[in-house]
Amino acid sequence: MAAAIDDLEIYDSQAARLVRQRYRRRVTAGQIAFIIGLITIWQFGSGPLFDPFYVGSPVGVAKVLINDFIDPRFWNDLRVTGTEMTLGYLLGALSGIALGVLFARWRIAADIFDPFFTGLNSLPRIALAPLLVIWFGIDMASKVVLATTLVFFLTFLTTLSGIRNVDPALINVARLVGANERQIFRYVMLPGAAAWVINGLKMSLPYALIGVIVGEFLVSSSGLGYRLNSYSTSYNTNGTFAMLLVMMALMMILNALMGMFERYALRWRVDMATTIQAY
Amino acid sequence: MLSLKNISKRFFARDHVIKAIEGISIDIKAGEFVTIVGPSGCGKSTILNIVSGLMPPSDGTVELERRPVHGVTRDIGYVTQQHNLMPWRTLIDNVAFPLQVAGMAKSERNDRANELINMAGLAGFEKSYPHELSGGMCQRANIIRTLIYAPKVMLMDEPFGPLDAQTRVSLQDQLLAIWSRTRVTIIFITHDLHEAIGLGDRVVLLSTRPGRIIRVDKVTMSRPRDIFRMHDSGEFRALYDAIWVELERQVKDQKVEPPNGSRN
Repeated sequence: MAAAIDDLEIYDSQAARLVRQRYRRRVTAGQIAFIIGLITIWQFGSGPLFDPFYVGSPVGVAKVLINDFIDPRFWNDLRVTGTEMTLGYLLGALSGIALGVLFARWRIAADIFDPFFTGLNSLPRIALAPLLVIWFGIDMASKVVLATTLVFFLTFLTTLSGIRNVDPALINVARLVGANERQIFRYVMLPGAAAWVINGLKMSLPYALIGVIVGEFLVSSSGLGYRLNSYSTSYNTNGTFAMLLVMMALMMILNALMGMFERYALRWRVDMATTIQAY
Repeated sequence: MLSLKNISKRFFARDHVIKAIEGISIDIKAGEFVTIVGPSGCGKSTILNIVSGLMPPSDGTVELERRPVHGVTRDIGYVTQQHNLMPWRTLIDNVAFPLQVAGMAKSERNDRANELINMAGLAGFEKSYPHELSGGMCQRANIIRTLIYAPKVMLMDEPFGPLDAQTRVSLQDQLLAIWSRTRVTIIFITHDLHEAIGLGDRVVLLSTRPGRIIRVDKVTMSRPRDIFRMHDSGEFRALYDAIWVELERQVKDQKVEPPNGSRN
């Protein structure tokens, strides 16, 4: 690290940029080499080295994927999971932010409910799934609610902490120039808590998918979790891997979108990406 | 115009009472530039916190134009030691914030903000965020954010404290220029006696805690002052030496306390 800083100071900016570019190209090359190596070992090791029954093979996974992509039932499963996830995430995030904001402003309510929220949050939410099935049935609703409970606590807690951690000096500035409580909330508390809230939104995104998939595992007749479950219970290793890849891709796309939103919403912050690059 | 009448402030710690300031009385004329100097931990900031209305005094009253001050008022502006710009607002949005709070339309408040930004030499940085600006630039923005809504009194708590020596002198010079134009009443706190004499019409010297007023000196040097050169003048030296003897005694008397116990 220190050497890199020295390098930057010695080289003029053009040279420093070239060094950085070359370094990044090496990282990318290494990543591509790793994935190609992994797939090669998997493909050619499957059979001679490992039992294909347990590990499948890349070509086998690709065949399942191609078959699935032309199968309308796969797209229906994706749609079901996507809908459940979106609903669960939106409900959880909106209620979490709303209650976080409310409790941040209404101190006594927050203090009264604090131990109960801690208790509920300590509960492994996945264990609620059977109860949710009894309450909300075997269709979408139970999966949506499970995802909602997971997302809710993360966004609630980060929103509450975010608003409580707003620099009191900034609140004083607003008070001194004559801002009323509503203005202080709108111009200082909310933007001051934004980084925390967005962090909560980002962290809870994978949990929305976890909630939905676990719900589908338990009991369902459609969805990616259902499809994964039916592949694995019929000992179709390639199919299982294919579904894992689909979920991974789905999550990476959503994370990338969230990252774009974060960079836009928090553009006033010191740009961590460039800071780290510079060193 | 602004009167502090027998102000005291006590803080209650777990097992003892801390007297921060005691019996502070001073009358300040409209347009006067008063500097307060004292050893660290003497309750300088406590005085401004009380005058600003952020903190009630334990005893005594603050009167602005013969009316007691209860709570914050737009008549009294407060420039803190930290610039306290909102990191999510651009420079111009920070400077115009007091006008936005007052409900002024965007184009109008931006016009007013631009005027001050130009005056403070910050033109070209309107759309920059605070983390992209230097400490001196942020502190200038902090000052013009207070000037923009034209409070009658401006409280300044070591506003140039965290800055390097050259930036300090240059900002002192700019502050004097602004003050001579607007004639706003200023109470300016510093631990730097050079700064106190260079800027002020009167210099108030505080004792160690509990902060009491030990002496008040009139600075008779003519205005406008050349803040870059004035330290060489005989008049400056004489006053400096007279106050320094007293300040030195206070600093030497001061008991060494753990850092968190000495916050003022």
